[in-house]
Amino acid sequence: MKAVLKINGTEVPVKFDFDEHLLQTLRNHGFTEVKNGCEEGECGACLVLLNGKPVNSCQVFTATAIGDEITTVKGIGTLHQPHIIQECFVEAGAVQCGFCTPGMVLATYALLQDNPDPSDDEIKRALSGNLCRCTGYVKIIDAVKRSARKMKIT
Amino acid sequence: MSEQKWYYTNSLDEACELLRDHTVLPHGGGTQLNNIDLSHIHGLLCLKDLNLNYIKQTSQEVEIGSMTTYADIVQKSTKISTDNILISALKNAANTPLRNRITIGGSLGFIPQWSDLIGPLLALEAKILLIGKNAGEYSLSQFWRHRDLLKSSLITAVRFRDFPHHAYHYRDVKTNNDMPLFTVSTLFDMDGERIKKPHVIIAGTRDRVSEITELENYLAGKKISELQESEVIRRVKVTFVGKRVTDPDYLASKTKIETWRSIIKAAENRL
Repeated sequence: MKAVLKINGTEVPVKFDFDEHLLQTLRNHGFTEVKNGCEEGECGACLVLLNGKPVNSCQVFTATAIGDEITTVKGIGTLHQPHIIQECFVEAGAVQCGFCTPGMVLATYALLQDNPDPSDDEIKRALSGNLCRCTGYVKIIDAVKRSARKMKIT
Repeated sequence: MSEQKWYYTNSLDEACELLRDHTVLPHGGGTQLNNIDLSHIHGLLCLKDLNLNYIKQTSQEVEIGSMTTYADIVQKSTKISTDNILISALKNAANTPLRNRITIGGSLGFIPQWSDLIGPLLALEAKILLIGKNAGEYSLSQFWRHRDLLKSSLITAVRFRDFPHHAYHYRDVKTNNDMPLFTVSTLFDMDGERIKKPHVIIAGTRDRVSEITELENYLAGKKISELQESEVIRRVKVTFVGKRVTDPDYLASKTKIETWRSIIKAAENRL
């Protein structure tokens, strides 16, 4: 199948199979910041925003994302122009191997769009679909709080 | 086999026409379709343009469109009491990104073993609206017993009465993020101090869902102070299939204890 997907604000022509998932399509077309983890919707490494909502791209058939706004982590900030959330993850030491980080950052972004001042419980609930096997979450939650504080100031 | 196709429509009539072909499956959020073999089907019908993502209040009832996601039901609804048993169950179901994809219609179409949805909806005496070959309104318990109603038909909405109730939804999980091994949904009204119209639904059993009618009959008309733990436990008769992580007999025993605890917690919760 062929279609045009709107990824990070740009229209991108893509080719994909009938039962292909968005994760594979994105990676096949160069969006390798979307990580391939469990492929079961459990780990959140492949998380993207679909019309602003965090979803596991391994659970989304590409054919159903036509016409939707797809945002990967590079859509909110880059290496040279990082988003506040990305800076805060580094400052808080919430990044080790980095595999879960794109998903964590996007989940945080979606949370703070809806709720600029989340409680610990609200952070844990929002990040419930993102697993990290390195940091143990304390620093990640710290990074989310730090992001909330900084985003309010700016 | 001809080439597999995706179908897109914004017309319910056209959707019904397409579903007359049993090898075309409806796609809600897609999370269950990921678990089945799609090699034998001719196509998938994308339902996202059918305007079935809504929550509205009719005279006495709440109606939820079948394409409404768990997240939208929990976060966006001002039409359902925040403490309704359905809300308290769905806010803990799966995880955040999955709650943004799982639709109420898709869950009812498949009723997965781990569903957090079926128990609360049965307890709320929900009804299902179908269009297509078997168009009509069906009680969820009727729909559950006659799954062939779904052939060449499409779930468009779920309706239930949103009324103040005593309820508790227990999920048996190792961590919050787990799929539950079983759930116990307890709901009743009170007539003064006496229990009225009790529902006790256990999901995840050998039959997937079991309504514990013997226990419901015991509870009806009793004061909470009159309930005896041993009498409650004796009436919870469910069996489980062997699961990878635990023993079916252990689950059956645990269900009895958690059902008793759920009744007590429901009595304390005025929703």
